[in-house]
Amino acid sequence: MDGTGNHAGLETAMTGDTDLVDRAATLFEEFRGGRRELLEELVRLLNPTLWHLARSCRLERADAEDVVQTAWLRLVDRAETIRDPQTVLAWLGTTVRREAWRVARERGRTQPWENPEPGAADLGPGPMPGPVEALLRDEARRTLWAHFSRLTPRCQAILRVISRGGAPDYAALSAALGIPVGSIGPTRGRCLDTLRTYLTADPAWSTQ
Amino acid sequence: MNEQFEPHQRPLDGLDTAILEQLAAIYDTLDPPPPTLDDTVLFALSLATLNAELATLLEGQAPALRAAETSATDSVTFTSSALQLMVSTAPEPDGSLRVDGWVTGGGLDVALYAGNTAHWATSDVNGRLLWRSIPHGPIRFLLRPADPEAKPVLTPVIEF
Repeated sequence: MDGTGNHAGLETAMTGDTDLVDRAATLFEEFRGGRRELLEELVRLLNPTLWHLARSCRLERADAEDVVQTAWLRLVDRAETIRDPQTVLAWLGTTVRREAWRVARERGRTQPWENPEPGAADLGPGPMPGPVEALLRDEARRTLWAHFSRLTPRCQAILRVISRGGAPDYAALSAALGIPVGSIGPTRGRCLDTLRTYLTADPAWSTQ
Repeated sequence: MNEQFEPHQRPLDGLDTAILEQLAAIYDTLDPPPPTLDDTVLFALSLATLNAELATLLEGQAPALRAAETSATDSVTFTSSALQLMVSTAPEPDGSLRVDGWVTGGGLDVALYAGNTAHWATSDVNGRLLWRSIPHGPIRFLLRPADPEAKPVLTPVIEF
């Protein structure tokens, strides 16, 4: 749990954006206070993050869409039971992940759900909607993608979610990805470092 | 893996930021949220606040599934505790749909939702309803009983 506050600060510095969690908390609090119209802004603010979370749980696109929708319906249904508005993104993320499990089970997919380390085996990139080579015309991006694909599924899931404009704080990521909060920072650091090592060794890659 | 320092204590530098930004751009290209996601969610939320009763498809009929999995259907009947709605379709000359409906009761306001757009109609004394020029795709109905105390009824989504 050490330094969670610092991490959130880092993410804010990284994105140069007001922290996503804070903005969500403010909107959610005002929504509950009677400004129902703010729900739309909250949905638009958090949907990209929820989408990438859902897709990081190996859901097909149509299932991911359903799961995100379900999470919002639950939130509105149970809005009064959420004590701390700061946890609204974590709450939604957790709901997305649980729903993703449920959907995957219904699909009868053979998944190691009983894996003792939740978040390790059940996370990973979902199937891509199109051929990567054709979609990524930029050589540097293709190179980055090639090396990124060598990372563990868990690394890919974490980096995918935190690469979105305004990362959720570590508590939210932890809840949503099912990874202990104390592991998020080190895992992210290791994932990024591994990726950097791959990239800097590859002359085809540049940040330009 | 570099284990001789605490990676998470190293602040993100310019290279990290560049990598993450490119990664976000890649995912925007490869796997962006569907452009309709926000509207679909908002639409579902607006229906949820109606506190409607969910109608079911009459047993033995084609199951109503999410749009991506449905097959085209000609005629279906939905039932709820108090109401029954039967709908059938026929092609319009321009290829869109004519949707005929029969509901148990006259003077009922019924919305046909094509995507997120509502087309309202009111049943005549015989319970007949008619919608013209409806685009093909996922459709659902919302029935608003004349009695303001009665719950509205929402059908599952069906593909026509």
